[in-house]
Order: sequence, then structure tokens, then C-alpha cells
Amino acid sequence: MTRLFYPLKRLLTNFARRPLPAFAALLSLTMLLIMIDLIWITRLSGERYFDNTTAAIEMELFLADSLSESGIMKIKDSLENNEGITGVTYISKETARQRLLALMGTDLLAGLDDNPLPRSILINFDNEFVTAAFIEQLTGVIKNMNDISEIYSPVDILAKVENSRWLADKITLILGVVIILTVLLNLLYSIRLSVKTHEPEIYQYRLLGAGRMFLSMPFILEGIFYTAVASVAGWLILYYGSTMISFEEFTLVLPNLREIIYFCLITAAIGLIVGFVGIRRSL
Amino acid sequence: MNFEENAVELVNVSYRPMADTRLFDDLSFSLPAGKTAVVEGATGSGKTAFIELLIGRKKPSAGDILVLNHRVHDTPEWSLKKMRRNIGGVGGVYDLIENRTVFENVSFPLIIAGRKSSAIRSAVKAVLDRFDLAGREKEKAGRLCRGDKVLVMLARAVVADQSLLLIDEPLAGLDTAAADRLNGHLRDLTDQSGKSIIITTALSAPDLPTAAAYTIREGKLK
Repeated sequence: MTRLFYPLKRLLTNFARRPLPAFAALLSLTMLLIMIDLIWITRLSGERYFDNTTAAIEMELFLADSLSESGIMKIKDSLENNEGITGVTYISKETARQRLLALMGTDLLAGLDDNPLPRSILINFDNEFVTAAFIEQLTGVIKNMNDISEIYSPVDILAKVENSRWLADKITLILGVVIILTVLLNLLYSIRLSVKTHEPEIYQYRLLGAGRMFLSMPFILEGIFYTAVASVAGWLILYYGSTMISFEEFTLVLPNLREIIYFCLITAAIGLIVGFVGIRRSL
Repeated sequence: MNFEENAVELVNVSYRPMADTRLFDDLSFSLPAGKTAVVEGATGSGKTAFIELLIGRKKPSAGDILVLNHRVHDTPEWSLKKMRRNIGGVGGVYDLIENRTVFENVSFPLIIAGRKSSAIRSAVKAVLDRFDLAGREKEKAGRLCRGDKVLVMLARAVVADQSLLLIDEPLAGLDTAAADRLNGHLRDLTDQSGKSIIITTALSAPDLPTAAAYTIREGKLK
């Protein structure tokens, strides 16, 4: 039992004996992990924003004046049979006028004898199918239909959204890798510094018959302690911060509790590995 | 070779610290269990290296080294931990951890052995009493004088009832009073403890009538 508790006691006395380096290491790790947390939050919030943008996307087909009611129904039916299309709505001239009125707040067509607005068909999509490639393919199919005078296709918007997503993914990946690497090096340096400080002690323990595990444990615990405390502190700071700020057109999305717990466990596991690597060269 | 009767046995050991330097050449030595040997030698003759060979910190270029029934010469260092737990060291490569207290330093062998806290406390107290260190448990080892440091190391060397003591130049740097005090403790150990003891010395050898005397010279032990 003494051998189990002794490394823990040594860890605590090590911190007590050199509080400033320990605090500096903890602080810098917390800042780095906060940066990873922020990248994660930005990624989630960006995803939500992109999802909201694509969810609002619809396609509108403007119909030729000569097209009969039965022709309209035929087009509607053929569109509804396409995979990925969740809704096909016919917009009559009068409905188009009402929509314009709702949009502008005033009837721009007042005083005109005839309603010049064209009849149209609105198409809504399943979120999974809202891609530039799918919309482009569908546009190609629709172009081959008769009596479609014009197509409003959101393919350009989607291409921009997809490009932004791709760019965000790459930036997230690069920043994530750089920061994780910095975390690892920072932690490794802290552990190595601690090992260097205790080298005479480690040497004496070895002469007295201490095993690898006995010698490694305080430094492994140090690695776990740094990463666990830094990751939990980082999330507490960010959670508190998120309650203080809000955006009108942008929702801040935090990972759920289970994901945060997994994150803290993974960082603690990294601390364990780095702690072991840090002491290994001195054994 | 007699493993059972000898605590330490070196057979035809050669040791080259560097390619062009030969420190020991065909050296043989045995220490029967429970006996004491005093090894004298000039500075640089290899006394500390001799102890390092015994505990497996250095490996011989040739020959066999057997310590407490462990084949030190061909056993990886980490596999010697059980043997090392049974060896008490004073001076030379063995030192105190300066920023730890007397109590902590003396208790290390017991902690490594996995003894209970209560057993550690009573064993350390008993051994500190024995070496006139009672009441000094909380003093930092780094603040002790040389004589007291040697006594603390001696206390650490026997606290876990180690069967072999390796004591490297115990009287070096001690004034007469401290040397006399230490001599008394060493005599008690050699006469009564039943432990196997090797003491190395350069100038003044401890006054130990029952100990066998050896000299390291030109790579040989005579």
C-alpha cells in the first residue's frame, strides 16, 4: 500500500517544492487546450451554420405560360419521384403575388391589369442530398423538360458553402495538429524538466532496488495531472465564457457533456503516455 | 565457486572502463557470508569501480561476479533490483537525497520494499536511535555535516535488514571525534550484526580487528 501511495505523495511534494514551474506548465497547457476547445467549438458552430444555410436551400422552376394544368401535374409527379426531393409545391400566379407582397410589404403589382409573375414549382430537398453535384445533376435533368422557361438553381451558393466547409476542415486539421504537437512538446518538456530535477534521486532509488514502475509512476501521474486539470479547467472557463456571450445570427455550439468527458479522458491518457515517455530515457 | 557460503565472489574479473585502460586484470575475490573485508587502495585505484561492479552499475570485460547468489556479470541491470534491495550502501555512488529529510532518506529502502507505514515508522525510529540520530528526523539531509551524513547512510544501509553492506571510504573528510564515533558503529556492525561487509578506504582504515584486509594495486586485489 505504501508503494502505491508513495508516488502520489511524491507527486504532491514535487509540486509543493517547485510551485512556480508547475503552475507555469499547467497554465500554458490550459491555454493550449483552450485553443483546441475553441477550434472544436468553432467547427461545431460552423457546421450548424452551414447546415442551417443548406436546410433553407430550395430550387424554383419557372413555367412557360403555355403549359397546361395537366402538364404542370405531370412535371410535379416526375419531380416527386426523384430521390432526395422532399417537397414539390406548385406556385400559381396569385400565390406568387402573395409571396411578393409578404416579401416586400407592399403590393408592387397594384394598378396592373395583368399579373406578370410567372407560375413556378418550388422544390425542397432532403438535407443529405443538398450538394452542388446533386443539384447540378438535377438541373441537367430539368433542362431537358419542355415548358420550363427558367430555372433558379442554388448550385453556386452550395458550391461556395462546400468550398468554405472544405477550407474550414483543412484549417481545423492543420491548426489542430499544430496545437496538439505543441501540447505534446510542452508536456514532454515539463516532464523532462521534472525528471532532470530529480535525476540524483532517481539514481539513488535505482541503487536501492527500485523498479521501473516505482520510478516512473510519479512522472506518469504528473503527466495525467497536468493534462486532466488543464483540460477540465479549459472547459470550465469556456463554458462560463459561453454563458456570457451570444450572437444574433450565429449559434455557439458546445460539445455535449459526454464528448467533453471523453476529451478530458483522452488528454489524460496522452498525459500518461507523455509522462512515461518523459521518464523512459532516464531509466 | 561457492554461492551458498560466499556473499560476494569475483572470479578472474577484468574491467576496462575505456578501450585503452585496464582497471582490473584477472581479479579474484571472495567474501564469506557474515564476514568483513577492508579494501585499501590509492585514489584512482578502482575502489569505487569495484563497488559499482558488485552492484551491477558497471559490467566486467571478463570474468564472473556473484553477489548474494545473483550472477551480476550477465544479468540486466533491472533484473538486479531484488539483489540491490538486500544491499546497504554508504558513500561513493551511494548518497543521500539532499532535499529530503533524514527520516525520508532512511525510510527509502523500506518504501521500495513495500512495507506498511507503521512498520516504516518504527523501523526508522529504532535505527536512528541506534546511530545517535534520534530527534533529527525532520532535518534536511543537505544540511547535515559529513559525519552525520555517513551515519544517516549507515542507518539507511541497515534499516531494511540488508545482508550485504558496501561502505566506500567512510572516514574520508571526518575529524577525529566523528571518525571515532563512526569507528564504534562500524565495530558494532562487524562484530554483532552477522552482515557481510566490504569497506573501502584510501588513507585511514577503520579500526576493525576481525576484518580481513585487502589492497587494490595495479589491477589486482591482494
